[in-house]
Amino acid sequence: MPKTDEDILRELLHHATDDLHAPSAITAGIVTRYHRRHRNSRILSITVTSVAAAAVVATVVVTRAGPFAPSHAQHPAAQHPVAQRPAPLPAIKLTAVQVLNQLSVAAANAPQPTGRYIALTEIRQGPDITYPKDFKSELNDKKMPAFLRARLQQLVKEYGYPARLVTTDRTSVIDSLTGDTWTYQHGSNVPSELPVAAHGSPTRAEFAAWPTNPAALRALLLRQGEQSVAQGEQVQGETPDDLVFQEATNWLWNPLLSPALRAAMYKVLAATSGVAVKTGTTDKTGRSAIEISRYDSVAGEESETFESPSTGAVLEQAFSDVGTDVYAAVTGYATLPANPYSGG
Amino acid sequence: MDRKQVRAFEAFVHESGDALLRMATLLTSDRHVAEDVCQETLHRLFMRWSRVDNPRAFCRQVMHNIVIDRARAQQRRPRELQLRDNYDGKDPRSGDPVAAAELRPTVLAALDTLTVQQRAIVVLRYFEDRSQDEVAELLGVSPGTVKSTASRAVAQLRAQPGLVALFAAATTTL
Repeated sequence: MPKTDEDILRELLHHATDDLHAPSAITAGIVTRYHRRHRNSRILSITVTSVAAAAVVATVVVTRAGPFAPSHAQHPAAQHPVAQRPAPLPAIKLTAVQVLNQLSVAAANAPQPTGRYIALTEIRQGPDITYPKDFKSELNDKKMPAFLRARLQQLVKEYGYPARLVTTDRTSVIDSLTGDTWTYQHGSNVPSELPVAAHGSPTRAEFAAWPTNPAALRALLLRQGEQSVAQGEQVQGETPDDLVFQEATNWLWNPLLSPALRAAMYKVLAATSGVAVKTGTTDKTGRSAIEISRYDSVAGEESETFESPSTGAVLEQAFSDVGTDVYAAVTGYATLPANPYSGG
Repeated sequence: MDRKQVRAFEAFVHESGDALLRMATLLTSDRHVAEDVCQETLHRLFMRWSRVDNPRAFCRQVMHNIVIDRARAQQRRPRELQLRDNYDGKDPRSGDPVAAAELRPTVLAALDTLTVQQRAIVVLRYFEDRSQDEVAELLGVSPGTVKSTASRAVAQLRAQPGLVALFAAATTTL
C-alpha cells in the first residue's frame, strides 16, 4: 500500500527527533524545586496573613504620612499576625488598590530617559530549575525529608553537580523611533551580540498613541489578549482579568512607556480582580520593592513582578519558564551605544 | 508526596521523558527551550501527581499551554537568538543520530512556517498520534477545524523546499 502524506510526515517527525533524550538529572531538579516551592508556600501563607493584618495599618499610615510612608514590614502588626484578627476581604482589596494607586502616582512623576536610544541593562537568571545553583544548600536543608535527601544524594553522585549557565548580563538598546532592538549580552555559552530585532518593540510614538484613561487602556489590553486567543497563541479559558493582567505585565518593563501610560497601567491593575500586592519587600538585588502578583488558574501558576516604590519602574520580573529578569538601569543615548561587553 | 509517589513519578519520567522532549522540540524548534518547556511540564505534573489520572495526557495539555504562553511572552520582549541545533547530538543512547541530525534542521524549519495552532495540531496528530476528537478537545476547537487545519498544514509542509524531495522519495520507496 502506498504511503500517504500523513504517514510520511509521521515518519519524518519521529526520525528527526529520535536521537533526543531527556537529561538524566531532570527528576532531581523537579523534586528539589517541589521541595523548595513547598517550603516557600508555607512561608507565603504566613506572609499573606501578615499582609492582611498590615493592610489595615497601611490604610491609616497612608492618610497620615502620605503615599510613601516607610515600609510596613517592621510594624508590630506584621510581626505578630496571629494576634491580629484577619482583615475582612474588602479591606485587603482596598489596600491593594491604594498601593497600586501610589505606584501610579510615582510612575506619573518619574523622570523619563531622554534620547533616541534607550538602553535597558538587566541581569537575566535562566531557569535554575533543572540544575539548581544551590543544589548543595538544598541538600544541607535540615527540613528536607530523609528519603528525598537520600534520593538527591544518589542522583548527585550519579551525575555530578550539573553545570549550566544561570546568569547572563544583558543590555537591550531600543531605538525609540523605529522599535528596532539591539541586544548585547555577556556570559558563558551565550553569543555576545544578538541580531537586531526589527520592530522588537512598539515605538515611543506608538506607545504615546495608547489611551491613558484606565478604562480605555483596559479595553485595549483586553483586545490584545483576545486577539492572541483568536490566533491560537494563548491558552483557552482565560478570564478577561487573566488576559488584562498578562498584557499589562508584559508591557510594564518596556522603558519606552510614557510616565502617563505607565501610571495608567497601574490604574488598570488596581481595577483587575485577584491582583495582590506586598509592600516592604525587596528584589533579588536587595532593592526596596513592591511585589505585584496574581494567580492564573488556567496556567496554574502565580506570576509576580517587583516594582520600585519611588518610580513605579519594574525592577524584577519572572517568566515562568524563561527565567527571571532583574532590571538594573535605564539610560538614554543620543546615538547608538556600542556593545558594552566587547573588549573586556 | 510520599516515597512511593516519587518513585512512580520517576518511573513515568523514565518512560516518557524522551517522548516529551521530542514533542517539545518539534513545538519550539530549539533544543534548549524544549528542555526548559519539558522541565516546566514535568514540574507541573509533579505538583499535581496524586490527582492526575492520565499523566501523558496531562503533559500534552500543559506543554501546549506553556508553549503558547511562552510564545506570547517572547513577542513582547527583545527577541532571542535561536541557538538552533548547536547541540552536538552525541548521546550514547541515540537511535540514528546521523539521520536525525541531518533531518532535524529541515523538519524544524518547515514546522516554523506554520502558525502556532497548525503546528500544535500537526505535532499532536502525527507525532503523538492523537485522534481528531482528542486534539479538538485539547485545543478547544471543533474536530472539523482540526481536520481541515491538519490537511492544509500537511500540504504546506509537503511543499517546503527541504521536504519536497523527502516526500517524493518516501512515496516511491515503499
